[in-house]
Amino acid sequence: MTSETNLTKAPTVQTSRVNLHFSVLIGMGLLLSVPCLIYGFPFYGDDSLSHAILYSQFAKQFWSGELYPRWLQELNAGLGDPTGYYYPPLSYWLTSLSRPLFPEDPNGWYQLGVSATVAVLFSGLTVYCWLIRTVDTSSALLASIVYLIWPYHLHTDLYGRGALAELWAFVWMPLILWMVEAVIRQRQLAVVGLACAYGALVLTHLPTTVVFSPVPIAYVLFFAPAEKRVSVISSTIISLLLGAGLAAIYLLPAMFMQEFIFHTTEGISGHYYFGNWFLFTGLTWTGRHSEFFMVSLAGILLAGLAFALARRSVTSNLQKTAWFWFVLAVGCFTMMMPLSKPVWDLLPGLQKIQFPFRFNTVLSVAAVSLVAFAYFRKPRLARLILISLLALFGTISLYATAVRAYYAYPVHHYDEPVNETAQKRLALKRVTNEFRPRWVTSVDEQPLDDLLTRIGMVQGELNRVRVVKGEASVAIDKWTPREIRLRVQSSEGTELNVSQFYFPGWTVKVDDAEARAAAPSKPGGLLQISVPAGNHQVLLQLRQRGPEFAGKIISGVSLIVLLALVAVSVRRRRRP
Amino acid sequence: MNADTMSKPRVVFVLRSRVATISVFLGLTLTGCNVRLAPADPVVDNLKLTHATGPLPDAAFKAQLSFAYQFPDVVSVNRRLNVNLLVKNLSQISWPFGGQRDGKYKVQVGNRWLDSSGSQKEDAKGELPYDLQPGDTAEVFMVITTPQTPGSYTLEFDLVQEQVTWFRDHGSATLSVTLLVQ
Repeated sequence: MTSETNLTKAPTVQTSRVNLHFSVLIGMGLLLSVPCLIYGFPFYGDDSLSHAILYSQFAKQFWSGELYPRWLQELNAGLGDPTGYYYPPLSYWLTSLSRPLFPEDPNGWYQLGVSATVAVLFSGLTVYCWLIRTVDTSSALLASIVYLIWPYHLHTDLYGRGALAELWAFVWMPLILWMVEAVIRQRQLAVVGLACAYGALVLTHLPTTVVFSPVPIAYVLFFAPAEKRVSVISSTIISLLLGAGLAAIYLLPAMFMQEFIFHTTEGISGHYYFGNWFLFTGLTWTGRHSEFFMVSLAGILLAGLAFALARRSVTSNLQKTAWFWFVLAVGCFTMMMPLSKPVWDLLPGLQKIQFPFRFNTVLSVAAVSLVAFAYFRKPRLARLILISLLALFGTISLYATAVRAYYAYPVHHYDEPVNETAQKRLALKRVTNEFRPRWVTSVDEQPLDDLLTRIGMVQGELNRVRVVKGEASVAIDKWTPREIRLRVQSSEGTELNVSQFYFPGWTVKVDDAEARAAAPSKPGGLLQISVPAGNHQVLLQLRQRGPEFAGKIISGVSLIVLLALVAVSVRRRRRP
Repeated sequence: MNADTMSKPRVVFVLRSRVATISVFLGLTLTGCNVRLAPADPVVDNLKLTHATGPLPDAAFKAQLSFAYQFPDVVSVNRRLNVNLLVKNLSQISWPFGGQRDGKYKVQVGNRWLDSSGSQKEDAKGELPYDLQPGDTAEVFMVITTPQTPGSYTLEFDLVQEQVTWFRDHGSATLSVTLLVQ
């Protein structure tokens, strides 16, 4: 893309204007997130409760010194949960930073609220920083405001779905495009910046990564100058690979240990089957999920109108840009409709994103880019038309968001059955079924209650070790997320059920014998161990499997390469 | 940039720089000192998730079912009951856990209620959690619904390959209990 517009700007004027625009965007972001700051993360969001349960345990283990909590020990009433192996950690890491500020927030509602607010603020800033590389500051500001109030971003993701990770993905997508611009212009450290931004996206939200990843590639293919195309494309691909490498610490276990949980197969049918969520068939004007339909339709309509104005740009380059984003927007919308089903059927990896409406993330980026170009260097009349359309769009969007936000909190709208269920889930820290280990038949409310009853309580707490065969006395010396130490005394040998769900990687070591893999109890799916007669020290450890170890190595190597690139760049800069 | 600088291999500089030293340290920290990997795990080695593409051979229809926990003798009418079963594959052929998208060929546990007059009513289904290898046992969870009319019933559990056959039709033993529904 050309830098012609930047060259015409007076740097001093631009700096002050950019600062002013930053203030406007920060102010707007704060205003739009006020409910999160007052009441915390939206309580009635689809995923809010899961986030509260998962995040609070993640943060607890993180602040106990476990930098990357994967096995969340206290979840499911203390039976443990492997969601940390599969759910991207970055949004929880970032949220964890606020934990010391909220000592009276055990379930993390306010910490999650602050995190959501910061995500909204930064999304406005990153989209602005990206767009001012190609359009003037006013156009960039206008588009950034549209991005902030974009219905799928605010109404749906924040206040409707409580989708914290996808909300953070809205920060990284424009950041990636900003860095891609820098790669095209062959700026110093652009490769490092792009790698970090892409790594952040992978570490934040895999479905958005899947739908967004082709965009940077297409962008450089389309916009890199012919004479630099090969080097720009290579740099972009290397950056993306380095970014994926940086995220390997999460990505490898999530990809290569999928068969250990039910999540792998739940997308094949039922609720998570992608075919149930197409626009005009699964989602329509009416019904429970009609909001996804309306939000998607509003998005493509605005993109179309903005394109109609943007394609009348003064330079062919800007027209080309407008066409690029319009084709992308239409492509995203098409992927949400039943006519794209053959594409979905061809790509099993894509089916794992579950909901075609997730293409709204990329649609929003494409649409705000079109808005920026629709405003940029346009005659007054065209700008007036655009502003009027955006005013109408903004009013409707903000009204819908305000209503959604109002009803997202029990203080305004007390839904007794939902609250009762939520309180029960919070008390037992019961997470959703999809990430449960495959050897555990169910962690739904009643079956888990039944299992807990069978395990029994000791002094008001869950019985941590139960003798299921023979007689034995057991003392617990250590009970931490990935390591449990027991002293077992038995006259004739015994079989014990340890109250942690079995998961591949759990090993058992009796005294100095070699560690061997633990086995699941049947029924129950708990850790089952046999201990011979006599006094023994038993060590249970959840050791890393190949993908976890390989992921760490690849992330470490990627980090070293990136730091080396920074060092080379700094050295070059210092050279006289 | 002069010729001398150009001729120096960059890698030397990278290794000498403090940033590189810190990055190596960080990398090693990240990879972790704990390199004790999990040993081989037969449970994982046996784990397969395949989908049946056709009827299983006759020799595959041999199963043993049992209640995982004690089951009541008396139940209330029209109640949902959680049932945990243990299912053992007594054949020499692996049972795939999945079937076709429409459910065809899927191996599941089903139950039916038989009253004293001989009439029967099919009820619920429970899925295998993974491919069940010969000789292996899996826990299957299902939610059944008791009849609406009080009386004495036989509750029978059996495996079925959807749209192919019930295992009992091939001589496999079912799990049956007599219950008083009141």
